[in-house]
Amino acid sequence: MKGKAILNHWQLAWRRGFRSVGWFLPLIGAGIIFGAILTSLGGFQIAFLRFNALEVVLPLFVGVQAALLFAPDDEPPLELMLAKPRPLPWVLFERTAALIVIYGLIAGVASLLVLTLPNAESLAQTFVRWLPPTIGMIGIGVWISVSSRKASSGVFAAVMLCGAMAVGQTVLLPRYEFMSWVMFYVQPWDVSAERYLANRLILTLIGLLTFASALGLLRDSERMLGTNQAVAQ
Amino acid sequence: MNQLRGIIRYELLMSWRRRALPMLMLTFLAALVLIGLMIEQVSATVDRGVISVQVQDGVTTITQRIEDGSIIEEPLDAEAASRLPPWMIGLDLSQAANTIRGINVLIPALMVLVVGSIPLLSDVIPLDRQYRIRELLDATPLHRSLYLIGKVLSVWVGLLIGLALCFGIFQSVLYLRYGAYDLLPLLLDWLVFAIPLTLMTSFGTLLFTSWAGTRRVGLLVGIGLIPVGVYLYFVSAMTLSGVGRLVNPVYGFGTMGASLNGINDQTIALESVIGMLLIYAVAFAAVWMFGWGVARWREAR
Repeated sequence: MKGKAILNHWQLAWRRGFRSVGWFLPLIGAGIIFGAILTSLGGFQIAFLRFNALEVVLPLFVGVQAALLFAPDDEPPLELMLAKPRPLPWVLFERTAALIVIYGLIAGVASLLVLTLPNAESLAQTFVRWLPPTIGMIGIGVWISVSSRKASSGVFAAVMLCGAMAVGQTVLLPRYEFMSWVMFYVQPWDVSAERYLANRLILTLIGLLTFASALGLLRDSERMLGTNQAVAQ
Repeated sequence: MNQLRGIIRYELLMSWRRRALPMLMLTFLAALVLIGLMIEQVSATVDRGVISVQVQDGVTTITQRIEDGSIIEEPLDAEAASRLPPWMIGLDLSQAANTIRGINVLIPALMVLVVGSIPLLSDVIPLDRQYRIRELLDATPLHRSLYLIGKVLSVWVGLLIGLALCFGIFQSVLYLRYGAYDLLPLLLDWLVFAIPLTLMTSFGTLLFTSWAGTRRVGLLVGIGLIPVGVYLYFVSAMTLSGVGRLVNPVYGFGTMGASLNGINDQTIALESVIGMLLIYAVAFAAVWMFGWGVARWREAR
């Protein structure tokens, strides 16, 4: 009943949501993912494709796009948005939903394609590989952009984090085992089954907590308007 | 000149307030220190316990650290001595190993700086348009070249200050963690590899994003430039990071594309460095023409 009332009163802006995700980056991301899968189908071995392409490329692209979803300094009508009865977090929900729909579609099709590879894992295992780090990156990307007010900080953090995780997988993990709790690209055969499951849960939790924290920041109108900030665009 | 000084000063202040440059340099410093602390094993050829090889009165003597930690000197028979490469004679191998460590830390850490600088600097010029400062600037007698030079120089000054600080801190960490090293090859690597690469990346980012009307578009263009930055990094690493070979061929160890080529090694190193720096000069000119051309085209509209 309440949900219906919300839909009646607050118009959904899906087209704007999808426009904030755009088509260019998803197209490039999909090209890399499907290209890597097709290359594997052809039996070629390329060093950087040792990881599952889906679990490496998807969190990076989703993280970068999540950072671009909402940055207070890049929202010209922010005061108007805050003055409207529709809560500001609603805007973030819409845009995140659009992001999830677009990349969910790419990842879903890619997961089904992965099943056709020789010695393929089950669909559930494939989802467990890419879904938790992707949720983690959505939360982190959104949170950094909202808290720093600039999308560039979020993009910077997403690129650095994914790069550090990819390098850390081979360099840090053999030396510092405790890092397997939070490594994005930890492989099931590197750690025990319990540790792997814990890793996936922690990454999901990080994503959800950071996303919730970003929503909390959006509810603070004074902060969104930069009342307490020095002039720093 | 006053206009230029003003642009540089205020843009530097804005970089500081935006936290873009401090964030970038702190990340680079963190990468340098973390990789520096982690790296322990360098090429076994120079790190096998042999500290130095000396030749005196025709007798070759090896100084080496044995398993219990004590240092011993022993003469080498003539046949073994004749097989030693000339660059090894008189070189403090322990110091050379530490120097190579420094080079091997700088190379991967620079990747962080190159990739990180692109998104963080992509909004420097588009921001003026987003906040309608461009219209105010158009009303002043400020030439487009001066504006672009001011923007570029302000970012360069900030980056050079940051690089100098990082250099000082990193060299101290290297010394405290591993001991004495040869400063000259490392300094050459910073001067010939790190600085030109950083300046080129920031220059390209600033001018290629200069046509964007909003910060968001600038950022999207910047994301597209990341693969170009990565390519530039690898090409530079393969040619410029081995500049230490001009001091001694051993400083080519572990650097991409470098190998010990005997007596011609220094010539080869010099040729590859000069060749790459010339390519940089051409790239600088091409990028400048692009940025200037876009600015002129916009004005003409």
